[in-house]
Amino acid sequence: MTAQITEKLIYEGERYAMCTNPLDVYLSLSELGIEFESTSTALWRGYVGTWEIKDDRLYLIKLNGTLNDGSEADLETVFPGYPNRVFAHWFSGEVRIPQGKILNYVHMGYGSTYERDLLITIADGVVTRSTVQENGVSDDPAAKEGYSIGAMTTFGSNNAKGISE
Amino acid sequence: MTYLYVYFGVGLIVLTTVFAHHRWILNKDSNSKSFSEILDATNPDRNKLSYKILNNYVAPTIGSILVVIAWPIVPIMKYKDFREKKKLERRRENSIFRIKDLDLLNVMTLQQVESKEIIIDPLGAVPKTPFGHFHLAWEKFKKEIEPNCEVMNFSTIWTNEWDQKKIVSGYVIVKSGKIGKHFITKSTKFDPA
Repeated sequence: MTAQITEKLIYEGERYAMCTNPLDVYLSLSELGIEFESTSTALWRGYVGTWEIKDDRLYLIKLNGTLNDGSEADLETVFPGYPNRVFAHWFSGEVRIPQGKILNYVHMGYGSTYERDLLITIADGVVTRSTVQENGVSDDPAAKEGYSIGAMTTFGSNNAKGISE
Repeated sequence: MTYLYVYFGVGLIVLTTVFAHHRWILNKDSNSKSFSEILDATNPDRNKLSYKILNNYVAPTIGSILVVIAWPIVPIMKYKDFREKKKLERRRENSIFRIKDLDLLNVMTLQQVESKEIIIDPLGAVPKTPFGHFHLAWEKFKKEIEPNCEVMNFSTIWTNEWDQKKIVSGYVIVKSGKIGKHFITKSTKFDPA
């Protein structure tokens, strides 16, 4: 398995890479039968969502992906009638935002470790707590700052919607 | 010397059986071709001539010689493989989500459920209907409720196929004490702390 492209999160005016997939919970529980196509080894889930925490509530504000039938999917495809903003009331759990320099690269899932993790606890779509977990200090001055992926293979030339966006 | 001939003869029979079984599995499994295509995509070296020679000729030849020489290991490995598969099947069977009597909480009327599950968002990013964005799934579930059935809420700790524990809650149809279809509204990671 390859390290995965993250979801995006806008939180307190900043853009972050988010190593949690709240939409997966919705797709498995909603019984809508919506299935995304894997477009790359770095994007097995087949989509990239942009999320925003506004007034302590988690919203999905953008979605780029390719469905199994090859058609492109956006927010309106998954949430008809809600093309701009969807309240993630289905999600309860911890959202992980890696920060700082990379400490240990793992070429699988969201397995890499970074200097800090901003952990936001969410209950029914509402933020209940946020903490910073210190994981260590990088002793490599050349180490990259922020989330990154070592390598990936893209399947097909026209189907990498989530990645290109 | 005769014993050696017999030993290698049995080795050849084992090799033929293993080869035939391998071919049969390949022909039977229609996914193996697409899996091979994914492997090709993830590792471009697989298309190189050197890789093909190693993969298609050198490795099978060495493997065949080893099977003929050390054939008693083959049935042991096959038996271990068989046991692993059985273990995996058992794990899959045990991980199927089931609601038990102990997980049931309260009998609720549809009105009680629907008024409890209204979701409100100040930005209007959720339908003002029971269960919000799960409303369609709820309506589908409601169609399964027969007049002589009860609806109960439930909460359970479920261990999935990958050994992850989750707290799963929702509603279930109960008919004459028998647990029927369920509607999951929440699935969160189980944290014993």
